[in-house]
Amino acid sequence: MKAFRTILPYVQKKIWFLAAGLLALIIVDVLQLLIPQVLKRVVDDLTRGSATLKSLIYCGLIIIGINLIIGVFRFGWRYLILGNAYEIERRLRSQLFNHLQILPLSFFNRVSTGEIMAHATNDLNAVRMSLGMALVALVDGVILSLMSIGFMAHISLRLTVYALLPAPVLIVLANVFAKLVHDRFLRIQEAFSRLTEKARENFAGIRVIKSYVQEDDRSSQLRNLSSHLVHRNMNLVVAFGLFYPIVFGIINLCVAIVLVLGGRQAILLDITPGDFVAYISYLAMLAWPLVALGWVMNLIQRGAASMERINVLLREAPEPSSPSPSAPLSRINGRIEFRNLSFAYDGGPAVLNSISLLIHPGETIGIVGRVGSGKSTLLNLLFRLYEPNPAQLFIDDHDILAIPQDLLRRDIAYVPQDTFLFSDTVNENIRFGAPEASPGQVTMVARASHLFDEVLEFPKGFETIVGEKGIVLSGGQKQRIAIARALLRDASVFVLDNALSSVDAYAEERIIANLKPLMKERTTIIVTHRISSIKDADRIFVFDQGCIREQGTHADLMNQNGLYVDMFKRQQIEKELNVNNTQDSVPYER
Amino acid sequence: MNADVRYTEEEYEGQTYDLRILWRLARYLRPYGRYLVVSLVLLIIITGVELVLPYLIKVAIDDYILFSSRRVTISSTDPFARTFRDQNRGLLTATQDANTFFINEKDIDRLNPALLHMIKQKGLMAEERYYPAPLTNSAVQVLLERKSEDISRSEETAFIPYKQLQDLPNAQLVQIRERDLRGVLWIGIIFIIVLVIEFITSYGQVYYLQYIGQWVMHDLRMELCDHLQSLSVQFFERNPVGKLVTRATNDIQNLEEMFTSIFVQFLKDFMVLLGIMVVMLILNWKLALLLFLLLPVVAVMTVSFGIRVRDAFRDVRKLIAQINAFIQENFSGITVVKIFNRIQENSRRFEKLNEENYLANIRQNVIFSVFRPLVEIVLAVGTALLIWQGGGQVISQTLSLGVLVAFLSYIQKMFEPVRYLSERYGIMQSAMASSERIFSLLDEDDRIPEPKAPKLLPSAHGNISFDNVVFSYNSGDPVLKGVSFDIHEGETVAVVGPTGAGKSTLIKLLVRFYDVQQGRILFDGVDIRLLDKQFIRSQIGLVQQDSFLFADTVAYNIRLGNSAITQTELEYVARLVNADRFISRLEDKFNHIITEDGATLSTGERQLLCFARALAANPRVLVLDEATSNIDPETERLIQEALINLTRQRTAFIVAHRLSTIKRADRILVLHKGIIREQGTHDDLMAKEGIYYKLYQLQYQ
Repeated sequence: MKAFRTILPYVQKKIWFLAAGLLALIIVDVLQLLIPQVLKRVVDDLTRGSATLKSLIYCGLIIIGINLIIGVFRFGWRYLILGNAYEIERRLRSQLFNHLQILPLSFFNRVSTGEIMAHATNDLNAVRMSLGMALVALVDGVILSLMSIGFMAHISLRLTVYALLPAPVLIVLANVFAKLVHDRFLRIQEAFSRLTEKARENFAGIRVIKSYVQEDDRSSQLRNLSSHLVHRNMNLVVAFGLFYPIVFGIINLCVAIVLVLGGRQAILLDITPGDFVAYISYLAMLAWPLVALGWVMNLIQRGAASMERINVLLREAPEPSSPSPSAPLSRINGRIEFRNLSFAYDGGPAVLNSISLLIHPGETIGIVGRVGSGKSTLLNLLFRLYEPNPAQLFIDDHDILAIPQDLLRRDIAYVPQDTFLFSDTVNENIRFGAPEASPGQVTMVARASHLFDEVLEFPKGFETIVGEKGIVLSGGQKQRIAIARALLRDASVFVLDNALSSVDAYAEERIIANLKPLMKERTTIIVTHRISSIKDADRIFVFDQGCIREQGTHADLMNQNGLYVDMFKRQQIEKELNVNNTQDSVPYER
Repeated sequence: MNADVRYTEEEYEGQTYDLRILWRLARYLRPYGRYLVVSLVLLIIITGVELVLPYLIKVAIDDYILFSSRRVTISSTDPFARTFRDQNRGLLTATQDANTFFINEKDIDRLNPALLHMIKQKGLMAEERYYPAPLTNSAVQVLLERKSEDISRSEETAFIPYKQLQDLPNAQLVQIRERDLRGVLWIGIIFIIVLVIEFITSYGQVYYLQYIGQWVMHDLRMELCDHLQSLSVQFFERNPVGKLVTRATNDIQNLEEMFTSIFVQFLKDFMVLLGIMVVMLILNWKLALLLFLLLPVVAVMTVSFGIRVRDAFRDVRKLIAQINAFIQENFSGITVVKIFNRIQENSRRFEKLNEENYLANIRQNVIFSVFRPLVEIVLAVGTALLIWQGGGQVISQTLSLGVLVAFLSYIQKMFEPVRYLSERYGIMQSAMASSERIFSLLDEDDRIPEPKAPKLLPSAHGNISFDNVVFSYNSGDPVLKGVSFDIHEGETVAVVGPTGAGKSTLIKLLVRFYDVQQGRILFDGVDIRLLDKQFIRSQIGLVQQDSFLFADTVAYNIRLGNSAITQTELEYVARLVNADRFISRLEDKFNHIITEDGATLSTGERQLLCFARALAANPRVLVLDEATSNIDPETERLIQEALINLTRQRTAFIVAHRLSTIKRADRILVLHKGIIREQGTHDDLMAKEGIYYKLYQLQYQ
């Protein structure tokens, strides 16, 4: 239960809401318990012969009246308590979302999006249920059962003692069943996951299955598991099927006792016929809380477990933010210096080894190297997606660790390697980093990225939703949107991380040409494995196994007969092989 | 990824299809007709049993608790009273006093109502109740000896005013009312017998219905899976595996919930409602009809509620899907979000969506919150009507108190189903959405056509010809633009070319995962579209790039479903492809279970297993899509050796990436941009200094 401490502030804020809701619930319960009293009066009056049509109508109106009031309060508690549960769910969801957003990237490498989704859906749901319906059922059950027992005892204490004799059996039985059912339920889950796995395999391995003509065999394997699941389920049914009949059997046994003993008391005139009738009504009211108790406890336990899982997420330490009170600078000029920088991911081998590299404002730098040479890590550090060691990376002569992340990310624009677009319009995707940009600016960057004319051909132009059915963008189109998105930020440093890999040679040339004037005004870092993109860079660095192996201008490097030349030659051949290829990317094959 | 699919799914649009879906679901019940009949019979018994309690209470009240007679004064001078007496001699009991008669309370409603009214108006029938006790009862005799003045007597019965009973000592009262005490005891016993019947029948009913439900879901699941398996590979490329799995498991589970809790409950509610109406009509048809007037009101309320809640429900589901999609996307692209400084903006947007969802939830909550109290109020009106009209009838003695009490509890039971309607609505809607999704998959008919009368080949040789084959995926630009080549029986042919040249497509066409759009592919001179699909596939051993292994034993992964392959043969093929060494290192050898994605095996070992699988199938043609992944030289050597054994004495068609494989081929085809540009041996092609030469420089130097 301690787990629920997280939501205490939310509950406190709405404590009067909740209190009012609970009060309304209690009022409903009390009023409900009054109705058998009215019925008792009707029956007794009719027995005594003292009833008149007028008194009957009066009683009828009282019942309607009580129910009208009940209606109002029932609406009240539903609105207040369940509404409160929705409200807490909402706040908790926001809290979770906001917290997750500021967690470091290492968290997202560890926890899959699927897991996050499970927390954001199932767990939040369970928490809401335990704060809503479970809370109601608990309070309702306790009040209703205690008060109906009170009313019953008021009518006849002796009868109540006898009538409730079988009740403890019910509670014991509920526990026994819970255990019995739990075991069988686990076995069902096991059978279910085996079935799921087999189905997954049958779909994932469909090509092997088809090519080896294994359809029938796989189908019969699945059939076996499916029947197995049926048998396991029936196994539970055999046990659990007894539960409700036994529960209702026991409750009805209480009724049987009341029929005989209560009937006897009525015959011997110890209680009135009206009492007898009211008594049976109270007993019926008692039945429901007894049955529901197990369910309620289960809901609350599940809610607590889910709450705890959410708490674990909320306890995750956020990204280290900088000691911002004295932000050393208000705008980044674009002087970047790596001073003998080395880096390794969490206990792994060193990815970067003593990199020393000074980039001047306004310079255009090319970085090339094979996959795994450490290029992307360098950029991760630049954005502080991972934390470099102190005094190894300086921006405008300040240690990057002292620069607020906001500032870094505001003044450094980035075109990432994997062009992640959001399922929103092309327009919204371009404006992703600069929501306040004008349509004119969007048009300008779309032109610069050689994107404008193509987008206009889309069914809804810039308002076309990316990723919607029918419009599947090619890899090159996605990359160009990503470039436009970065351009729109108007930052002082511009970083392209393999950003033209899916763009064909023609478009690449055009984009580079378009970018040139922009690059003159800012520091540009182009990371690529395509030499054509960086031929004109001021300086080019060749990375290999975490070190800088060669550096210089294109012409310098071509004279060195090293890695760079080797790469260049290969790419020449590749280019020759792909002559005439005007397509952005190859039609994907799976 | 499962999660990717589930949260962004389009939602069920409702109602128009409801009946059709239900009808379609009902068809699956057909094979279980017998069980269904049994469970319906049990349901009828349960319904009957459920209605017994109020009736027993009625009997307890009317026949025992309030067992009484009324005194009627009939003076022989009153002609009207005389007529009354003469007409109802059977019901009236004469006493010592010639003018005093008693009538059993229960018999009063058998009197002519007009006459009764007159009698009452004339004050001839007393309001007071008298307890008719047999004179033989010793306690009655004691009572009569002490104070006999207020007690009338007939030949057999003493009529004791209830007021006097009140004053009697308990022991004496017990003796006098021995009959009634015995009566309620019997009622208790009967009720317990009924309980036993109820226990047995409801257990049986739960069992049978679950039995039906479970097997129906099994049938549906198998039909779905078998159907999906029969669809083309293209279908599987369009639909993520996670989505299909969700259909076959979770969606079916949803349906099961609907079947076992909703469908069954509806049936039961309906029966109970029907039963109650019948019992009410029998007990008192006037009162019953009066109360039935409420049913249309409830019906109208339910329908209008249904419409409102459906809209609200749809909003909620739509918004929660949006929220989940948003979360999903936000954290899949968290790097971009962070770098573009979008955290605050996305928080703001999320907040907005979250708020909308909250409001939709509140709207739905309000609808639910209004409906339930309204139902209770209608019920209260019914109860009030009952008290007014029924109570009135009790006063005028045309209705017994017991019947009124029974009616009070029947009307409660009548409203029970409506009360829980809102709770069930949610399950119903999600089950409908699930069935719609399941059925739309069942209606999917994306198959590679099978010839009606497939040509039969007496024996397969393994000659393959591509004849001007043109093919494109999803009617995009053609991947193959007129490819022609022949492979002769026993020949090993390697295809090379840059990525995206269409090499793998050749294989997919050959095993008929897809069909050509122009041209044709011949197998032993016959167009493969005229041959049985399974025949072609069984003649071709396909080894794919991804080395897919099943989570089963090593032995299963080699022999698959072919149990004719003996252990000796198994060991033989494993040896031939060099898989024997690593298999012998495994703890359970051939019975070693490969975990999901074969984590315990290296890439090379997985590939060797796939080779063994192909060899075990002993096909005429080996088709290999060589893996591009880097493998250590030792494994590389094992694989190359295995390849020699694999390609021996059969036609081999290899999409090759490894130089050694390429060099070993009898012939090399160079595919570039959908066209075969060069062919020949390695040396021929190198000498040409064409595309092959460039590829060679690019990849192997």
